[in-house]
Amino acid sequence: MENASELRIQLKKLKIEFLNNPKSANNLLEIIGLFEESVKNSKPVSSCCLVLEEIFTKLLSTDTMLIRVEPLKPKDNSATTKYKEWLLQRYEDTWKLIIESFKSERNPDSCQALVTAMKLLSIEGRHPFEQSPEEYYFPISRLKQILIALLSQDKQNTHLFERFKEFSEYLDVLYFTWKQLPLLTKATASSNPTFALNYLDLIDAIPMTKDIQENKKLLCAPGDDVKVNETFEYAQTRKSINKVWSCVMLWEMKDPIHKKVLIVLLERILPHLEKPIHLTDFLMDSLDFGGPIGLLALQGVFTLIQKHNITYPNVYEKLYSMFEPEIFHTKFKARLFYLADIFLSSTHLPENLVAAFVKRLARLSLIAPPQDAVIILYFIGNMILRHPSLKRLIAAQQSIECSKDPFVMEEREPSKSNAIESSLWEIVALQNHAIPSVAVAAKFISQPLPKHEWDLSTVLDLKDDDIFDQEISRKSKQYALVFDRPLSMYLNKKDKVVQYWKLF
Amino acid sequence: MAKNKKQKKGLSDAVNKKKSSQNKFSAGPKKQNPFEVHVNREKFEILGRKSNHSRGLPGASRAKAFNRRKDTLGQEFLLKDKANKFIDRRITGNDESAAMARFTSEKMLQFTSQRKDRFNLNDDEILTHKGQTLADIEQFHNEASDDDLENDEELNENFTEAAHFGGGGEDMDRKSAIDEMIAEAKRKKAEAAKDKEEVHQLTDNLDAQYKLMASLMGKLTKNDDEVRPKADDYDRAMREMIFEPKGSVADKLESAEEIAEKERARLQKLEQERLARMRGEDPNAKKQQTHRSADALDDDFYFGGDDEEEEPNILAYGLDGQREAPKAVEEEEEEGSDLGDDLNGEDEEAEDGEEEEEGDDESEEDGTDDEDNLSDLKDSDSEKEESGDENESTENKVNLNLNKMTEEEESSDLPFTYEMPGKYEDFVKLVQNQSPSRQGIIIERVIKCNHPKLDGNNREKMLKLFTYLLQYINDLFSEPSEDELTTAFKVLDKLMPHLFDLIQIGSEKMSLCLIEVIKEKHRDFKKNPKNFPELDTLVFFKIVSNLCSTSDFRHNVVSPCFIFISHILSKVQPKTRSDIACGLFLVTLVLEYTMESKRFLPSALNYLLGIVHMSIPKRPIEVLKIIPPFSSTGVMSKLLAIGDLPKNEKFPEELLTSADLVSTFITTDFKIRALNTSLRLIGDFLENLKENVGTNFLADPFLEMFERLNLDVYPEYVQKSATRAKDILKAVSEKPLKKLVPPPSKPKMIQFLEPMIEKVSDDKRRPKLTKAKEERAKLVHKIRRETKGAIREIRRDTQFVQSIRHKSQMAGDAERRAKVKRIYSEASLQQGELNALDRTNKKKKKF
Repeated sequence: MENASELRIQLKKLKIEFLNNPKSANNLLEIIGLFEESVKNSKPVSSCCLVLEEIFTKLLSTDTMLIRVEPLKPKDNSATTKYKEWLLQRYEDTWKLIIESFKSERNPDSCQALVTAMKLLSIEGRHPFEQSPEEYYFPISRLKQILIALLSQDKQNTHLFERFKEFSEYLDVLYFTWKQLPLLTKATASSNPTFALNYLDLIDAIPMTKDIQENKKLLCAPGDDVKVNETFEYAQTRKSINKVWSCVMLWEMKDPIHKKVLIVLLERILPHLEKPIHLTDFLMDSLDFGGPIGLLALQGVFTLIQKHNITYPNVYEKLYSMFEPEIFHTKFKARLFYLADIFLSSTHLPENLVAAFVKRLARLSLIAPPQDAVIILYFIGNMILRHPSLKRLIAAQQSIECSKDPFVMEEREPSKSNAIESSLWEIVALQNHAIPSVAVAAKFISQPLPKHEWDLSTVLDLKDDDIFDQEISRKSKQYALVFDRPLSMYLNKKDKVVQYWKLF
Repeated sequence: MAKNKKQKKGLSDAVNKKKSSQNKFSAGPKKQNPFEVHVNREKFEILGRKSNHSRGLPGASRAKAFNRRKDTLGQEFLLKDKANKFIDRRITGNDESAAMARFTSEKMLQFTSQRKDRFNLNDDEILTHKGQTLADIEQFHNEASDDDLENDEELNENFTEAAHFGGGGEDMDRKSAIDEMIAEAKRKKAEAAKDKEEVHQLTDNLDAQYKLMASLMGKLTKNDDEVRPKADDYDRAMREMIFEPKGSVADKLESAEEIAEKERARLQKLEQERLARMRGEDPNAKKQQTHRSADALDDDFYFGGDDEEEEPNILAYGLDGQREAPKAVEEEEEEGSDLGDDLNGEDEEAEDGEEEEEGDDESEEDGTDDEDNLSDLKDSDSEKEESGDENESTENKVNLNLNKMTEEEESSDLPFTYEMPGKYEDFVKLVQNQSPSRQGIIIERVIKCNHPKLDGNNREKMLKLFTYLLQYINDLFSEPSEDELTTAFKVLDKLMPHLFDLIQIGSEKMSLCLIEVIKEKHRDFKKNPKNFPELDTLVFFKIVSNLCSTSDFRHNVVSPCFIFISHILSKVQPKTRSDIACGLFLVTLVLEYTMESKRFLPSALNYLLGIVHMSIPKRPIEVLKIIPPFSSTGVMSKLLAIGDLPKNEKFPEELLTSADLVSTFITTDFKIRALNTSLRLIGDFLENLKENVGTNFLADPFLEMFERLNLDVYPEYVQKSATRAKDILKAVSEKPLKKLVPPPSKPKMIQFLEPMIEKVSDDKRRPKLTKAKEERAKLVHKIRRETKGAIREIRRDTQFVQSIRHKSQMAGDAERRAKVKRIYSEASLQQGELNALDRTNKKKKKF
């Protein structure tokens, strides 16, 4: 660590000397040398990045490196020009090194490098070498350099894309990135999953939203007096999005990529596609996968049904089949409940279909983790409120005795499961759940139903540990104790450990 | 004119007195003269208005007013322009207060006059009563009453007759008779005097003799000269007993039965509270018995506020016309039966009173002995309760007996008092390297020496001790070897009663400590949610089970534990022997937690299902589905599967051991024990839940799994456990289901609304005013009325004064006129006389 701080002090000294005295130009060489050394030996590079960023920001904003070329004059060979040319070369060196340091193993270093690159890019855009500063200019080549480095084939750059997201609020960055992207796609991406994931991450990091288009925030914004001749037309961006996506669709999908593709498709791409109908096949195929992929595909299908008028006959059966015990151990259960809530929000659905869903959910709630059991219980409550005919499930006309539950859990078709003839005994059983929040939630069936639906959004966000914290933070002064004094480590009565264990 | 001379201030008093005396005289119901009554006739009778002046007595009231004026204003008028006045300072009156006042004034006079003796405290004045000194009265001398003398002195009848009215013709002349009479009287007098003298003498004699006698009598009672016999031990003891303080009145010493009864009542109350908590009722919300009128017919109306749970005990008929047993009654019956059980238990305990004091703090003084007895008792209890597992309990008994034997020997060299260690390190030093039972004794003595009953500050110390103990247990159970674990459990066994005692001292703070520990353990678990927590976490769940009321619907300590256990069981995939054993330990604890409340934890059941699943040998391609954390395929899915048992080895039935909790290698022996325990646990779990509605669905997956389990390879006892579990499962699974029907609700009564009455003050004669103005108007009205009254009074006063003046003027005039008349008459008389004289003179002259 001492070396690092020494290095920082040294760099600072060199920088100050260099900026104050044009004669100490070799200091720059020295700094770049140090930087190169750090990059090669994979040492921390943040400080070097920062110093160089400062130096070149100063140089660029004072136009020190600008060589004015008079059209008809021969190139003059004065010392200043030479110096400027030398500086330009150093600038190129620096760029190379910065791009190189994207590969750094240390996340903060690579992030710093990315930020430095983007800053230099913005300064250069404002003080271009070739154009007059009165016109808008975006250094596209630099952006391309950055993007190529980001879309590495060897290393997943998730953290860098996180950082890159910060720049995605600038319309020009978005626009030019999208313009570049089709060029960077590789048909062979499927052979290299790292590249594919990076590529998808990048797409995920650059959402083209209406907000950004309307705000027109520019990274390389020149002063107010400068005209912006670029129009940043959405049509063009959209074209490139479509191009990119058609390329992506050609990839061979493997499990993690498939999931990621679906997520990116749903969240970023779908609204921009010209002909989303083309996706139908892809989604249908994905649906058959089941599990999380099927779920994501189902969401896509739902969007298509909703916005693009496709018809898909067995969507409810598909949704029904998603409710399997394993679903509680995936990350997407919240999405499933959200989707199910939307799908079943229609009050015009046949009652035996909804009853089947309710019954199946009730069965699942018996084995679900507590927080999910709570969600399911409220969800069932909402279903009953939406479809008053389902009150049969909790309030039969007569309390007839059945030897077996009429509901058939194994039936794949919800409408044939005979759920409407059943009753929600599972929820009565849940009233005896050991965890009080579940037991309380299950009490709704023995009380008069409320007028309004339960708000699922509050319980959907619950994590596993939240329910523990909630219970811990419940402040009541009730600390009831056992009143029978144990005389050993076993209870006087009904100790179970002593029945099953021989501990000493 | 005494009244005139009285002070002005005294006037009104006098008037009042006079009035009262007047009233006294006219106490009887005075008959009113109808001609004196004036009636103010009212045209309309107005409700709510009191009429004060409906009838009056103008004559009487005028006279009253006149008299009042005469006594006050009149007196003043008389004293007008008078320069001096005559004050009568005599204290008159015959009543007691007047006498008292006279006495005091007399004393004051004496006091002021005797300047010399003013401060002489010894000067006791002679008190008198009716002129006699009190000393005289006290002697009870027969006062020489003058009665007889007086009688004698009165002339007798005969004499008077004779002397005054001349007798009546007797020959004895008057003088001689009188002489005789006088002589007779003198003789009588002398005789009487002589008699009196005699009586006096006799009395004196008697007195003198009595005095002699008295000295004799005194000898009998208090004779100092007589030598007392020396007090022997008996006397001393007796005297001591006499003078010994008798002791304050205390409650009656309770007999063993009474104590037992009290204890039973206490336990009954606690049990009822526990049941209430189990049902999730709010302990703070007391059941409010809404007031029911005696003639409420209970027409089956639902009055908004009542909860279904608080249904009153009433005879009610269901919709189908059958008599319903009201909920509350059923519950009570349940409680009753529970209590009955308890009662039996208590009766057994009551046989020897010592044990009864178990929970009482008082019994702590001789805690060790008691404990021994109690451990016996406990054993016998558990024997009765767990008659199914006789072997175990006898084993236990042997163990405990051994402990008891050694305990006394071991504790002999331990000091009796201990300071509360200030630091945890000191505490560890205190108990380190001691045998478990000695550690228990040390802790017990630390508690006794620093009990909060001795000093209020000790509460903090006890809290500290509790935290130390928790930390100590934590340290004992962190990464122990097999042997260390056994000792650790032994230590825990000894410490548990003391932990219980401690938490009873400060339930809230110590429970918070326990919660903190659980929280910390949960935090550690969150960091690494794929691995089973160490034993130092699991052991705290057992401690919670022993200290906290686990059957509560919601409990600040137990509920988080449930969630924590659920997390562990549903997230961690068991991979090793210790993992499986730890999981089973937790499942056992869940069963223990839910024994009373009959609740269930899905993850615990799933864990048992997973263990059975692991015991099923599967072919490589075959997939038997199981819910995570267990994997349906792969090596992990058949960790406990047994192909064939080695023929030559025997596997006797054994319990899981503490060694299982720490070792990683899975042996065949362990496989069998784990499966056997799981099967037994499954049976117990569903046995416990079989009353609940809807548990059918919990049993089904087990039955499916059992189909696949090949039991033939296992020893007989495993098969037996499996059959038992299967029987219970089948019973639960085939339990008939009744369709859910909402609880019959009473028809809602139409709400009676109170009529809303609004005050409309819209008087046309008088405009509505603001509050301030209204007040002011009232005030002005009052002032006006008062002024009017005052003016009238003044006018009347003037009238009165003028009438007095007029009267005095008239009186003066009349006097003058009379004088003039007299003078005139005298003058005319004089003139007449003069004229007559003149006329005689003229006549004389003529002659």
